[in-house]
Amino acid sequence: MRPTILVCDNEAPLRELVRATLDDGRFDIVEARDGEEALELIRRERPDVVVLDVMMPGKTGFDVLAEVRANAELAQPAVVMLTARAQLTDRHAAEDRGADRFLAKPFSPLALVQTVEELLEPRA
Amino acid sequence: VSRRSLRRPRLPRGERFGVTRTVVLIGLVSLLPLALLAYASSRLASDAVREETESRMVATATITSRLMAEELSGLAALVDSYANRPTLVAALGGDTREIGGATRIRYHLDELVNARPGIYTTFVARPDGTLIDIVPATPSIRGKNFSFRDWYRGVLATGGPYVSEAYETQAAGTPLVVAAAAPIRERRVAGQRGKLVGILVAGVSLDHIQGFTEDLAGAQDVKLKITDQRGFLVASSDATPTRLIDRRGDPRVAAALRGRSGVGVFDTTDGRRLSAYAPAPAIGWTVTASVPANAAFAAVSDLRSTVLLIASLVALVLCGGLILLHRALHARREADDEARRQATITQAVLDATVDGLRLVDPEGNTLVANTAMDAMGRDLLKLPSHGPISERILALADRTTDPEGYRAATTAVFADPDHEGRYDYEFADTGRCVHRYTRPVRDTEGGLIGRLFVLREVTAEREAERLKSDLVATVSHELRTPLASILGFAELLVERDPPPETRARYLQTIHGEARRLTTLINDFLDLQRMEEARFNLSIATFDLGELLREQVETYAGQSREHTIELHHSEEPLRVAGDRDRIAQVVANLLSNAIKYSPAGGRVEVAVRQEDRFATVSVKDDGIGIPRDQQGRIFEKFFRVDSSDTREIGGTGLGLALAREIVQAHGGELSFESAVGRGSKFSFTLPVGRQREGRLTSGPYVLVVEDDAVAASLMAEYLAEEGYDVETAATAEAALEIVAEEPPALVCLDMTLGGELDGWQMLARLKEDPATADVPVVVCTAGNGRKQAAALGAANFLTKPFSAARLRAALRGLIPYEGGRVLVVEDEEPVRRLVVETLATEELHVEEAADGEEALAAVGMRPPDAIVLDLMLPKLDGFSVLERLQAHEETRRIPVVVLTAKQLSAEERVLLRAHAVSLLEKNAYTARDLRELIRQALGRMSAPV
Repeated sequence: MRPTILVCDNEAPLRELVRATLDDGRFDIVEARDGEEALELIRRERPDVVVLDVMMPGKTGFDVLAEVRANAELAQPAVVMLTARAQLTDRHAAEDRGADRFLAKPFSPLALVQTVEELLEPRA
Repeated sequence: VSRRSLRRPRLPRGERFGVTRTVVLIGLVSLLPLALLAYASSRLASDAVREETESRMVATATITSRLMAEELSGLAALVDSYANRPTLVAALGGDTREIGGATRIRYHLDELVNARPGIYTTFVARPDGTLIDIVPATPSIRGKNFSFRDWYRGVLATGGPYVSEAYETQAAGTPLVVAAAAPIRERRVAGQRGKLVGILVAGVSLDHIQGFTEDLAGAQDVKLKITDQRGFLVASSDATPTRLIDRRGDPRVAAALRGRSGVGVFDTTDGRRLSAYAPAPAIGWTVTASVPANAAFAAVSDLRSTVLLIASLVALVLCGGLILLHRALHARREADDEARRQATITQAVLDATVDGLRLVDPEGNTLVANTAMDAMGRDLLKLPSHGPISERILALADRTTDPEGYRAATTAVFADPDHEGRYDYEFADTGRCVHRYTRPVRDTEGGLIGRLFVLREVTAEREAERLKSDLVATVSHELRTPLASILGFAELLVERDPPPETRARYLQTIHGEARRLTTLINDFLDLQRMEEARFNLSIATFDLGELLREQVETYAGQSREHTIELHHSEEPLRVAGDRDRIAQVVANLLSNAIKYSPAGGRVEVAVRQEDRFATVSVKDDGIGIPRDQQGRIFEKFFRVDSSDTREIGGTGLGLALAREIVQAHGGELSFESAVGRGSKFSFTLPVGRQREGRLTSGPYVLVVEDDAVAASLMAEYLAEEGYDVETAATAEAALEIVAEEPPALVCLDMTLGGELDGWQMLARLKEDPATADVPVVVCTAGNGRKQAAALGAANFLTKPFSAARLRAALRGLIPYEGGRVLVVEDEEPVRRLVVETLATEELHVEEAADGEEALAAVGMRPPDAIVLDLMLPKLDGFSVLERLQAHEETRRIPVVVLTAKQLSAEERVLLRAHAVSLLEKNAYTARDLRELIRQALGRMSAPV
């Protein structure tokens, strides 16, 4: 079964970019346009990896991450924070909340592919 | 603070002399008893000395008189004892011519003359005074009668022994003498005195008495003078009298002759002398003892001078002390005054400080606090009003956002006297932030005076920092997001070389995101410039209706899902503004309306004119704006946050920019909205006659001319003259313009392209009361001067004409040809003077009494020149200049600064930077002012 990857970003071009980057047939890709949608999809689709934006209207990426990590019933996906907020403090905030990786926008799609592969490796 | 006010304040007269007066009073009060004491003591002492001296003199005089009396009485007694010798009596009782008798007498005389020293002669006289015999023998005088002598008369008068007055003997060369005489009597019978048979006399040389006197005088160290009972000098310790000297004129002698004794200071030929005088008992002589008064009272004057010296020394020391005291008091008062003055200055400086300052002593008592600190303590910190300062400060901990940190930082301050540090804290309840600085304060010797606290409220700064960092984060995010797409897709293109259709899609996205990024950057920079008022609008008159039509068409073309309706008549609606910017505003409102409306939504655009404003509204029936977000929609990067809007995108700057643009045009952008019912955004724009290119405010001239070349030529002429020119090719267009705003003058061609010709237009203008007064200059190639005048034309020009002729024709027709001058001056008389000076027929003068009024007047209609006072209420001249500089429309208005103020170098530089002309109030003439204004206005119109 192919690993499922959830992309959550309120910006359509970004979602499209992530999809284009990862959509090489190895992964199932689902998209969420905001935090609420992301939580719902995490519950329903049980993605293996979540690529999560931080600055979104409504629930931020950090909110989503915190809720996921706080909810033991959920299968815990690996989370890649993909954000324009690239300060060191943001990086620390992400780590504190249980993010596995942190990528700053703009990002290299190839680096994202590599990151996702690394996160999936132990399961493979 | 100016030097003047730092000078020492002059003390009031009363206070200045208070110290002196007090010290002088103390001096008087203490010197007076001192003087009295000195006087009394010297008086007492001198009285004692005088008494002592006087009593010594009295004693001397008395003793001398006694001794003298005893000596002479003793002599008289001796003579008396001889006179009682029976043999002598017998010798005289018998016949003295008997040999034996004479011999016997001689025997007694010889014996008597040797009985005592001093007796230098003895003789016997008969009871009638005839000399019987004398020793030493002097035969020449024997038998002579001496009854005239005092001794004779004395013996007869007293009947007993007698000491005579001094007298000169008749014998040549004999000295002055006194005689002691005694009667020689026969034996007494039955109680009867015996018969006088003779008189025995012993003569004593005055030399003898003199010697005796000198001895006494020497012993007593005084001068003695002795007189006989007549008052003739018999002896003097000075010198032996060589002849009889009458001393009765001497008051001392006179008094003693009268039997009195006494003492006193007398003026004598020898000067003032202390003298005692006394009568000698029994013999009736007088004795005067004297010493020089100054010698007698030498002790007194010595004593007095000693007392005086001591008193003077004491007085001197006292005065010195008082002077020192005075100085000390004065110095202290001055020091007090100085200290008070310094304290006042310090307090004033402290109170003028925005930061709160408090100095507390080591016990926690406030030594100094300024008003800012008082106010902070009351309003910001809400400090408890009692208790040690450390406790009061610590009590705030629970109200701060970080009680632990606050407590730790504050405890550290009080734990270490040398602690110096800064600490920032925020109140949880009010959200206000405070910056605290504290350090110990020591005196010059290093002794701890206390601790200084400086508080500054930094709420605004923190807020600004927060906003700034938020903005930076947001901008960063907004820039990175499209960049991420661009770079990401670019990388995919490079790395993966996708098939053509995928590549096209990638490129499309890259293009779209790059455009979005460009827009974002442009909008952001525009907004920044707008906010900083560095934005140049190119204002022109345009048809707002046309603009709306264009925009609506564009958006209708883009979004086929929405219905966009424009409610506007075809009539042109002329507004003044920057067309492109207004188009941007409309586009933004339209795109928002579409974005926030569901497919099939309906957007209505309407415009209406009210008074001098046109209002454009864009209404949608979309999702609306939640009430809690309505306050923020003009914030940068704010996007209405709702699950329906997550896809909407955009820069988040559109509304902020739109509002800035509208406000820069003098309008307002507002909205009404309700969730689910849609939003309506409206903005206003001033309607006006604002012509192409520039915002001159010269008189407005309408040129009605169908020949475009001629029209533009005239327009150019007139513009050069400083007129604001509008052209119309037809009478119809011209009348429309005139109806909108009547011009100051109309240049009217007679042959026009429209239905109406110039004559008809002229008639219309003159018929309409609103335009009847507008002067019309007929410009024609044809004839009709008389007809034109009859119809009310003001002047008639025959084509072709030169610029000079045109100018000449217009002169005098337009009021305020020279321009409008705004006089800004707060003092009524000065303003009147300036206005009178400028109020010629060429100039229209307006007035403003303060800076705000001036700016309001400028805002209404920018004048051609401003006469500006610098010292103005509300807003001073410098601020007015600054505001004028800040706006494109007012920047070039020439300003003549009129000031009485002494300008600092800095101010001069400032004024030079504003390129103003300067006139000093008390040094300019009316001509100077007119000249400057003329020059200033000259700048408005190019030289011909």
